[in-house]
Amino acid sequence: MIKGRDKIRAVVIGGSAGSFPLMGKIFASLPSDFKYPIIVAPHRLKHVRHGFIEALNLKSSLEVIEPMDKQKIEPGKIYLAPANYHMSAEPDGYLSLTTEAMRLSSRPSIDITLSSVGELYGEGTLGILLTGANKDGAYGMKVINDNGGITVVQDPATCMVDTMPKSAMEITKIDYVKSIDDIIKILQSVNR
Amino acid sequence: MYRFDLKYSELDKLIEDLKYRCRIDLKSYSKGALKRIVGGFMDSHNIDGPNQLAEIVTDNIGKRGEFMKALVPNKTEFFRDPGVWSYLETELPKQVAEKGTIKILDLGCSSGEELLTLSILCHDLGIQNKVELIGSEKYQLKLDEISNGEFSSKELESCENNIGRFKQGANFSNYIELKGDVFKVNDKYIENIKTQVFDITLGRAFDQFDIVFCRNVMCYLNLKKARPVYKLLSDFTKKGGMLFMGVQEDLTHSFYNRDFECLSEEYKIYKKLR
Amino acid sequence: MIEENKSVPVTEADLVKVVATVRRNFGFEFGDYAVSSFKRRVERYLGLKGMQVIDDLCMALRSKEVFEEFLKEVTVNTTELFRDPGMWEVLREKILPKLFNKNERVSIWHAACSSGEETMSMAITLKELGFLDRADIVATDINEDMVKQAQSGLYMAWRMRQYEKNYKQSGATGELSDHYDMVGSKVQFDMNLIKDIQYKTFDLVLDTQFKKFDLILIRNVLIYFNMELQGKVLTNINNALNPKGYLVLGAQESINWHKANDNLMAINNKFKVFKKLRD
Repeated sequence: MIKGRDKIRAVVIGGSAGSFPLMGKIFASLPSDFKYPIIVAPHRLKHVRHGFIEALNLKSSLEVIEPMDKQKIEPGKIYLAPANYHMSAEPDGYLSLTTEAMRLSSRPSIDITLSSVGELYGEGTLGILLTGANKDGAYGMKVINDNGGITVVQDPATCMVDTMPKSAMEITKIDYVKSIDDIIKILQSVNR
Repeated sequence: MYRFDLKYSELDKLIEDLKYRCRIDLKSYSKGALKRIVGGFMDSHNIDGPNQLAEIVTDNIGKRGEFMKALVPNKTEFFRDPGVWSYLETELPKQVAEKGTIKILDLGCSSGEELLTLSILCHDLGIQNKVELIGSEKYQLKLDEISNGEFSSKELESCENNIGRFKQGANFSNYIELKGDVFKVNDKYIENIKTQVFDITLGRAFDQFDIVFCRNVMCYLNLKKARPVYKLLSDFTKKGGMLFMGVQEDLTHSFYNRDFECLSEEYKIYKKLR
Repeated sequence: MIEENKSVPVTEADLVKVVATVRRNFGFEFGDYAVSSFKRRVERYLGLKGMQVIDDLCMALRSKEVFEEFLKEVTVNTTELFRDPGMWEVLREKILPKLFNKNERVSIWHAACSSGEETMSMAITLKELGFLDRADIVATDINEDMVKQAQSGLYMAWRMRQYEKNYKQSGATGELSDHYDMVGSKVQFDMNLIKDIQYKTFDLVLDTQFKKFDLILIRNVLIYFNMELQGKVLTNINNALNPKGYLVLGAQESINWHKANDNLMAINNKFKVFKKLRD
């Protein structure tokens, strides 16, 4: 269904305003034997540490984890960036959670997560950017594209707020512009 | 702004260059974080590439100092994780009542936000003369910044927000003076803080403390360099003393987790058993 | 988001314009700057400030604040003659008279002499005290260019106003200008001051100092080393210091954490003067 799907080794998803129910929907539709790690950076409130992950775990067919610093990335797990931390994939295959300054008023920063995964997994990266109200994530998608990964954004026409996917489309090549249902189909198709 | 076009291969070469040319050793960092730190420095100083960075840092001692300070990321928030401070609000007077005086170490205190938060808390509790506060950081240059007590006003909102959650009606402006782009923490909160040059990847425990803070410091170390630090944390903590780590850090990587009992899973507060 | 931080290309004619503006507005003389590195630094400054053309900079350079910031960006930081005048007062009034009170030679090591300002200040002070003939001075730096510069005894004329001020504040009663002549945009210090000084390159971390000294100055160097290297350097320095000898560090530097501290007694805390008690 998508080119290069045989090379996929990791999925990374970013999203802001309005993306939370969509993430829930995506996680609910994944096969329970999904082979790759899914690394997720949502914009989230810094003082709401609880509830988010519990709600996602209720729906998800895979385990959703807010990782600890230096936790190893394992296949078939969903890693959610915790409140008030930047989450990035380190070159030796673990996640690091750092507290440096916000980027584009965001911590977690989608750019930081997306770009680090893009660099670690190269052409094995499937980057997905959902609805959102600022430009965070656009540069992350560019890094994924520059490193040979596959870039997918939610079709702006279906977004609650379309700034995020549109900004990515402005600065880099986006391979697929899809509705949520089609994004789910892509994820199901890469799990072969 | 972070520079995203710096490659890991360029970073590796830069690490070698800086070590050779001006003896700045960056081997202990986790690479991803280091790349963002270095990229951010290059952006803010309009430096075109890693070679130019190495050149500038080598031949301009002032820039070298600025770079070294940038290598220690700022902590950026006062009263980060309000629950931690609520916990200490009851715990500190208890410990002081029991022991008379206590010693607190902030290991890797960076720009001093948590150290100053501790100082503010002690003043509000009226125990500032009973608590010895020591902050350590690897570069003297960074520690010198604390004595200025100045922070970017951009951080004010999150400080107000945090303190409001720590204590209803508390007002961060009581502790500071606004000076346009920066705010200055009142001198009395700075005066009783001592500092000590110390590198957690190199040194041995120089003393033992009733409370050790090492929050969000290890995340900038790579796995190999982080491991020995757990022993150091244990060595620094008195028997029966407490260790505070970042809320997304824990001791499970470590053999020395046997030395500690977890008092709060949520806030990563540990008590040393032996 | 990354702004396009493309450097604005600067021509040599542009540089001449900048130099002339600064001269006109502040009476400041850049002297002989190395064109390529000066150009690069000006370009970087333009980029940093988001200025598009050199005229923007020349306009901005009417303000003293902008000028000072610009200077900091485009010049490589160097030290000053009689930097920290209070420290020189302590040396002049207390330490040097004590060291030279016997009729013996006294050995002094400037362990990171940079472009030689501190060594020159020492030579001037010793001459004024009448001790220069009895001093054996070694001045070292890791950078060969710096050592060469130090040996030349040449300094930028525009800096003299600050140096003069430092000199007076250090409690000196003479005139700094008695020790130099103007040569264009530079000043040439009396070479008799430094003719007997041994200048050489020396790596504080890797090289071993076999000589022993009665006074060692190593100021504002340790802060640029990490703890491990500081420890190494301090040990080496301590070994090169005679018992009852003096060590002077930068005002911001501390050694209280280091074991070398055990045999060093702080004589002056403000200016970080230590005396070695025993070997």
